[in-house]
Order: sequence, then C-alpha cells, then structure tokens
Amino acid sequence: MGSCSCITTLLATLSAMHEAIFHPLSRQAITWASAVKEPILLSTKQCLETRDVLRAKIDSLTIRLMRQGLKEDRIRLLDAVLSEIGSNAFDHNIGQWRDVPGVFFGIEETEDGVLCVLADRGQGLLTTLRRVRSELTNDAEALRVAFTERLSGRAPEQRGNGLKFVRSILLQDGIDLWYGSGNAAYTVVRREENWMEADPPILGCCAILFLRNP
Amino acid sequence: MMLLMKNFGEKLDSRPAGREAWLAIQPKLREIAQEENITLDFMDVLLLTPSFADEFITNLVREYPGHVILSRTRENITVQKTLEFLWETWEQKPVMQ
Repeated sequence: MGSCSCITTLLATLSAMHEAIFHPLSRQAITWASAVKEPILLSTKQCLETRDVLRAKIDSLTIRLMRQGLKEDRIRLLDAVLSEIGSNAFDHNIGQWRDVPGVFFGIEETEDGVLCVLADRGQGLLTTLRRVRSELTNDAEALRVAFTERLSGRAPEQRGNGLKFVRSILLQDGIDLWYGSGNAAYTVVRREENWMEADPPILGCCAILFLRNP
Repeated sequence: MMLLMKNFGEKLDSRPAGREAWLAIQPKLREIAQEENITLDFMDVLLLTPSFADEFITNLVREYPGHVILSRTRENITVQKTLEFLWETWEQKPVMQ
C-alpha cells in the first residue's frame, strides 16, 4: 500500500511538470524563443525590455505568493532562481539581442503550483560560452558546462556561478525546471536531473519553472 | 567597520547593483585602519544572489583577506545559500556568523 501511494505521488509530480511544460504559456514562450524570424510582437506585459521591469514583476509575484500563505523560504528561493536566470539573459545579451530586446516573462498559478516562464532571443549558451571555451562544439556540451562548471561567458570576469547556483537550489529544494538552449535541454523534476534534446531548438534560452504546492 | 547590507537594498540581486555598491563603498574603505575588520550585516536583507555577491563580497574578501566578517547570514535562506555556495570559491575564507 505504501509503495503504491509513493508511485501515485511520483506519477502525480511527473504529470504536474509535464503539464507545466505543455501549458499554453510554456508553449507560447517556446514558440517565441524558437521562431526563426522575428516573432509577433508580444504585449509589454509579457515582453520586458529591462531588468528593472523584470525585478518589479518578480517582486509582485513574491508579494502575491506571501499573501497566499506559501512558505517564505520557498518564495525567496524561487525569487533567487528567477533573478539569476533573468540576470543571465540581460548580462550576456545586452546589445546582442537577435531582434527583440529583453525577456518574455509569464506567470500562471495552477491547481498544482506556480508556473513561471522566462525566455530570451539572445545568443544562446553555446555562442556565449564559446567566447571563453572555444572547444565547445554543440549545445548539449554548452548546457552541461553552464550548469555544472564555474565558467563565465564574460571573460575576464572568471565567475559564471549563476546557473550552477540555480542547479544547487533545484537539487536541494525541489523546484522543477525545464531549461532549453539551442537543441539541448536540461530538466530537474523532483530533484532528479536529465539532459535531453530540445525540439524545436531554442534560439536564445528558455526556462520553465514550476514551484509545486506542498 | 560595520556595513548594513540592507542599505544597498532589500533585494541584492544583480551584477550592476553589486558593482554599484562596490564603487559606492570605496571612499569608506579608504578610511579604515590597516588591521580593522569589516563586518557585513545581512539583517533584513530579503534576497541575495551570486550575481550581486560576486561583484561585492568576492571583491571585498579578495582585497581584505582575513578582515571580513559576514554577520546574520542565517536569517534569510537566499543569503545563507548564496554565501555557502560562494564559500568554496573564496581562497581566503571570511568569518561567517
């Protein structure tokens, strides 16, 4: 009976992340980030040109979640993860956007938790990291380096801790993620990580975060 | 010298903000005595990320080895996790309270 309940819980969790990835908002972000030609202009509510506007949106989300009584630590960690992913988009692409400057940001509160999507039409991880690691040959390698090695795409800064930090939070604290760049994707669901293909390829980067209800 | 980190903002979350804060404290840092400690107090900080911390705390730890004290680091989960995460990268470890 115990293992049956455990399997049911696991299936429910996987299903919740599956639903998050296939949620219309996530599909909209993926479509936007993967469009070869400049995509249809989104409203200024979704497409945020500067990091200050993104910060204001994240602040508004955290205040709302606090009012709903979610545990403060989880809200702060979600804030930190969104901040780091958003900062990366601006730090690495400023002045080098493909066409649309800024990030696509969306939030949807579902029955199972909070879904956040953050995408950009920037250079993508491979192009960015090749500047300091010229031997990188494909998106999968770049994605793995970005999440597991301390390497900055903004040499000579020699830092690049953002996505490693994100990974450590996801693995310790149970926030789920799908992150795609180029034709590679990285997922963490219930602290289990996987590396896979992204189809369609993401031109910049696209993150789908899911904070499950306890 | 004591620096209340909340004076730089409740949410310390980006490289530009970290760089700005680092530049802002330069005049103060020039005034301290050679053996004086620098305490960063994280009381009431709601968010700290590695982006900000890399630009501010990492620089401070590197330039004032053995003289940096990080205080009230366990009151906010992101302060705690960010400092624990960066701890490995610092050659000179600050005192963490």
